[in-house]
Amino acid sequence: MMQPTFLQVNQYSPLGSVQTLGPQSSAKASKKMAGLMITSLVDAFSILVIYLLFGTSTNGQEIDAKIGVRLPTATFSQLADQSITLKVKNHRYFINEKSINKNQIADELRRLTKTNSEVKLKTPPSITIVADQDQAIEDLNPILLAASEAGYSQLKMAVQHEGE
Amino acid sequence: MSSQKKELDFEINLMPVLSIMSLCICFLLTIAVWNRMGMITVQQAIGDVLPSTGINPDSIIIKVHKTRQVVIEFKDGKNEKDLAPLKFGADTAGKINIELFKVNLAKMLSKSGRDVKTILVMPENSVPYGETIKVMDVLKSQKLNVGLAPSVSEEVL
Repeated sequence: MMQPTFLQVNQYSPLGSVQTLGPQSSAKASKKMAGLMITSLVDAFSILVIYLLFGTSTNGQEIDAKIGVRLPTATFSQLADQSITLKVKNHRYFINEKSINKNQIADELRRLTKTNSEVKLKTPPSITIVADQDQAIEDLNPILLAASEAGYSQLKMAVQHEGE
Repeated sequence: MSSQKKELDFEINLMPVLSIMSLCICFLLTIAVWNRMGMITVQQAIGDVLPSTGINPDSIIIKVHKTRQVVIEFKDGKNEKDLAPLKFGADTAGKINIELFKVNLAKMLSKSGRDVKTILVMPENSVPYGETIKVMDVLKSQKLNVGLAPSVSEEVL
């Protein structure tokens, strides 16, 4: 005698009875086990997917604020855009993730201005400063002076946007 | 010969739909941005050589001391007005009193009677960066051009 298959043994599973969406015949009207309603689950999933699709923004610049750098918060901030990123952490300076001496910031900015075609297109040229909110403003002095030397008149301070 | 009745009803299997949706949700959750990053644009208070027009624009200078005392001064480009600077101290938490700053800034702007568009922020060396940003945030809310000067020592301020 043939052994019953899995499907035959579990033909009355709660999921099995409702996994297919179709018209129900009168012969199947009496069920001994309660089924799971998954059509509402499909509705909820659809809404979630649509919300996440619209909520995922592809505009703006991705700023890699590493663990340990807490950006200050601001209410009236603009969306971040592409520019040279200058990070300050523990008295160390980084331009586009590359560690640099504070005396060489101006030269590096000048070099980037010449080589980076994207920066050339933006007028006026600008740099984005990423620093911890508890850092003393004194640490930004070399950046302000170097930016001025290199001809960068506009500075952008990276902040975490706060609701109004 | 047995005749098998063919069902004409159409059934949709929802399990693959649920699987694909779960996959989409997992993917979108991993790439979703939950913290919105922004930026505050400030002008350099030094550098740029502008053509001289002979007339200095009216400006307001905001000095922030290490004790979080804030002094708001009006610089009259035409040297006609001499307004007393407005001063106020820190709040109970020892930080810059932003509410008082908003009030005093509005007071200075109305006292000047001019359309002041340029504000210069001069913090002292040890003032935290986050508090300076809060001051600039208030200025940006008033749609003013904000300039940031390099920080100075106590003796200069």
